[in-house]
Amino acid sequence: MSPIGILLLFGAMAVPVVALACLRWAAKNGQLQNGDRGALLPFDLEEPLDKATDQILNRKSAKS
Amino acid sequence: MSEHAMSDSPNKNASGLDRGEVTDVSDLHAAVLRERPDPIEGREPLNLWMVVFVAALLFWAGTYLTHYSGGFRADEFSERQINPLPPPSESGPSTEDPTTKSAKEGMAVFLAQCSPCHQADGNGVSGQFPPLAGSEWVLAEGPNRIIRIVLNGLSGPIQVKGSDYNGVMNGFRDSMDDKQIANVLTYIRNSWGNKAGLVTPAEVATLRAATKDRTEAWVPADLLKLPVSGGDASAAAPASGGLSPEALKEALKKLPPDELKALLQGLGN
Amino acid sequence: MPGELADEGQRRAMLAEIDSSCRAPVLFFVISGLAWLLLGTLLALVTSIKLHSPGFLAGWDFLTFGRVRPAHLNAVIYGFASQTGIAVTIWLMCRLCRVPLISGGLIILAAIFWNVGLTIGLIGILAGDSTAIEWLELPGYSTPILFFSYALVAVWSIITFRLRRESHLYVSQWYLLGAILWFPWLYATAQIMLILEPVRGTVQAAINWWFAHNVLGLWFTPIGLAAIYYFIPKVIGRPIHSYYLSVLGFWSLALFYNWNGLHHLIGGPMPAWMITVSVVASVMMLIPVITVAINHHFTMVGHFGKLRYSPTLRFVVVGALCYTATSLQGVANSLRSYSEIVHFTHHTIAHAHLGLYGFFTMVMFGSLYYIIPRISGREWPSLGLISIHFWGCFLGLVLYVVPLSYGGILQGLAMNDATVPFMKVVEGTLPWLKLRTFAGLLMALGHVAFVGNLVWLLARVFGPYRKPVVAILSGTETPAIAGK
Repeated sequence: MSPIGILLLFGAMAVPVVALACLRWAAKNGQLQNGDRGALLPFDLEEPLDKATDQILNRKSAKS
Repeated sequence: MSEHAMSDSPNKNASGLDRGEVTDVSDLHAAVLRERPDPIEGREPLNLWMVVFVAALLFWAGTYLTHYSGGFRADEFSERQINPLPPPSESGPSTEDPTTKSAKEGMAVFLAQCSPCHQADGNGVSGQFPPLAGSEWVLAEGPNRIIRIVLNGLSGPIQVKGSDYNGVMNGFRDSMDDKQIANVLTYIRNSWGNKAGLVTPAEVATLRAATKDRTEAWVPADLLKLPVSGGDASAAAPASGGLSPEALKEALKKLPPDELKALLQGLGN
Repeated sequence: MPGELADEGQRRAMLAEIDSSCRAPVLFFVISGLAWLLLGTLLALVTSIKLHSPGFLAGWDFLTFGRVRPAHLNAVIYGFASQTGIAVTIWLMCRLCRVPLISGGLIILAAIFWNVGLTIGLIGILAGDSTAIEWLELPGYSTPILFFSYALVAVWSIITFRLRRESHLYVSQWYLLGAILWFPWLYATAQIMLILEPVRGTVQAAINWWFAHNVLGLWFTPIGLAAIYYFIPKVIGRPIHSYYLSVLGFWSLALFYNWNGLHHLIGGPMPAWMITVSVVASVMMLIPVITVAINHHFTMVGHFGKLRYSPTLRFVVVGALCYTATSLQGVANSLRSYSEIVHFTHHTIAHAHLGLYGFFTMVMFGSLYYIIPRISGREWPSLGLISIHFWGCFLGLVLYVVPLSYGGILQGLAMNDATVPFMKVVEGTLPWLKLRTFAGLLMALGHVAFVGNLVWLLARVFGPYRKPVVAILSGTETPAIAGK
C-alpha cells in the first residue's frame, strides 16, 4: 500500500475515534447535562427570551 | 461606522431608547422570570415512543444486515445469497449424493455467470433471455447440446417452452474449466423443479476436445441436428432428433399411416 | 441568562462589537456567494432549457450540456452554498462563542482565494477541463487554492472556538464544528483517491458516491441545522423544545451519516454487503431526522402566526420542513425495491434540489435576512422585494420538486417496462422538463429580488446616512417613519 493509502486509512480510522473522544469530552465537561442552560444560550439582552424579533413584515403596525 | 455600531445605531424605537435598551433592570429580568418556572422548555426528556422507535429501527437494521449482506464476502454481489457457500477447499470428503454436491458447487458459478441474464430463479426474462426452469433443452435426456452451448455460446433464433427468442449468449470455453461447467449444468438441471441428472466433468472434457477447433457460437438449428445424448460432432443426426415432444407428435400425426407403422417398427427393432 | 460577564452594559456593548466586527468579512463572503448564485441560476436555466430544446445555444462548445451542467453544479455548490454557509458559520460562531471576530483580514484573504480558485476552476470546466467526476468536476489546478482558503477558515474557526467566553456549547456549535472538521476529511479523501492518486475500478464509483452524499450530509446539512437551531428560537423568543433531543440528533448524525452513499450503486457491481450497509445507514437516518423534526415542530407550536411577519422565520421554517421531506424521500430512495424504479430518473434531480435548495438554500436566505441588518446596521429597504423573493423561491421550489418527483417515478416505471421504446420514455419526460424551466424562472426572479434588495441596502450603508424604513428589530415596538 502506498504511503498515501496508509495515511487515508489512518484518517478514516481517526474520524470515529475523534468523534467518540469528543463525545467523551462533552460528557465529562457537563455539556450533555445542563440542558436548561444550553437551551437558553442563543438569548441575550438585546434579543431576549420571550420576545419575538425580526417582525419586519408587520405592515399594519408599520402604517399605523 | 464606529466599533459600537449597533449600540450607536439610529434604530430608535418610539420611546427614544436604543434598540434593546431597557430602563428598569427588573423589567429586564421579567421575561426570564416568567419563563423560568415552566419546567418543560429546553429540557423535555426523551419521549418513551422515541426510545421504542430507535430500538425498533436498530432491530430492523440487524435483521436486514443479516439477510442481505451476502455473508459480508468481498466476492458476493447478490444480496439474495442468504447463506453463502463455504469455499471449495473447506469442504472435506463427504458422503453426499454426487449430484447434490455438484449442484451445490455449481450454484455459486450460476449466480456469478448465468443469473444476470437467466435470473436467479432460472425463469429468464420474457422476450429477451430464455428460461432454464422447465426448458426442454435443459431437461433433454443427455447434456450433449447444453454442454456445447456453454462451451461455445449460442446465437440465432431459438424456441424454448413455446416462445421464440433471438439473442446472443457468449461461450465460456476459456473462462470455465470442465469441473465448473459440469457443476453449473448439474445445478441448472436439478434446480427450480428441474430433474435431469448429473453432468460429469468427463463428459465436458470429451466434448471440449471434440469441438476444440470451433470458435463461433452454435446456431440452434445446427444443434437440433445433433443427438441429445452422447455422441460427438461427427455423429449423424436423425431428422427428428431436435424436435420437442409436442412438435414430434405433430410431425408424426402428419405422416401417412403406412410410413408411421414402418417407423414404429424400426424404433421397436 | 447565560454569559459570564457581570455587567449588562458591557455585555450589550460586546454584542454590538461582535456584530460590527463581522461586517466586512461576512459581507464579503455573502456578496461573493450571491454573485455566484446569480451566475449559477443563469447556468441552471441554460441547462434546463437544453434538456427540452436541445438546439438552444448549441453553437458554442463551451455551452454544451456536458459543460454547462457541471458548471452550474459547482457554481452553486462551491460558489453560493459553501460561501454563504461559511458566512453564516462565522457569524454564528462569533455570536455563540461571544467573542468579536478576530483577524478579519485573514477571513477576507480566505474569501479572495476561494473566489479566485473557483473562478479558475469554472473557466476550466467551461473550457473542457472537467474531471468528469460528479461533484468534483473542478480541475486539479484549482482545488488546492480552494483547499488553502478553506484551511484558513477552519483554523480561524478553531481558534475562535478556543477563545470562547461562554464555556457551555449550544447545539448549533456542535453542528458547526462538526461541519468544519468533516469537510476537509471528505474533500481531501475524495481528491486524493479520485484525482491525485486514482484508485482503480469500481472503487472509484464507491468513493465518488460516498463523497457526493456526505458533502450534503456532513457539510451542508450541519450548517443548515445549526442555523435552524439558532434562528427558530431566536425569532420566536422561546428556547428549543428539548435540548436533549437536539443532542441525540447531533450525535446520531455524527455516528451514522458517513456510512451513507453507496446505496446509489444499488444494482451495480459492488459487494452486496457494502450496499446493504449503506441502505441500513440511510434508514437509520430516520433517528436524527425525526428527532430534529419533532424538536422544531414543538418549538414552533403556537407561534406559527409569526411566520407572517418574519422573513427569517418563513425561510427557515420552510427549510426545516424541506429537511424532513427530503430526508424521508432519501430514505425511501435508498430502499432496493424503490431505487429500482427511481434511479437514473429525474426523481433523483428533484430530490437533490429539495435538499440543497428547499432545505439549505432557504435556510441560508432566512439567516441572511437576520444577519445582514445586524452587521450592517441598516434595515431591509423594501418589504415588497422580500415578498417577491420568498414567493418566487417557494413557488419555484414547489413547482420544481413536486412535478419532477412524480414525473421521475413515471419515467422509471416506463424504463423498467421492456415493451416501451426508449424514445417514448424520453418524450414522456418533456412536459415535466418544461415545467422545470418555468419553476427555474420563478426562482431566478426571487434571487434577483433578493440581490436587488441587498444592493439597495448596501448602497445605504456606504452612502450617506438615511433613516431605515422599519426599525422594529426587537419586539412589537412601533416602527419609525417610512421612507426618508
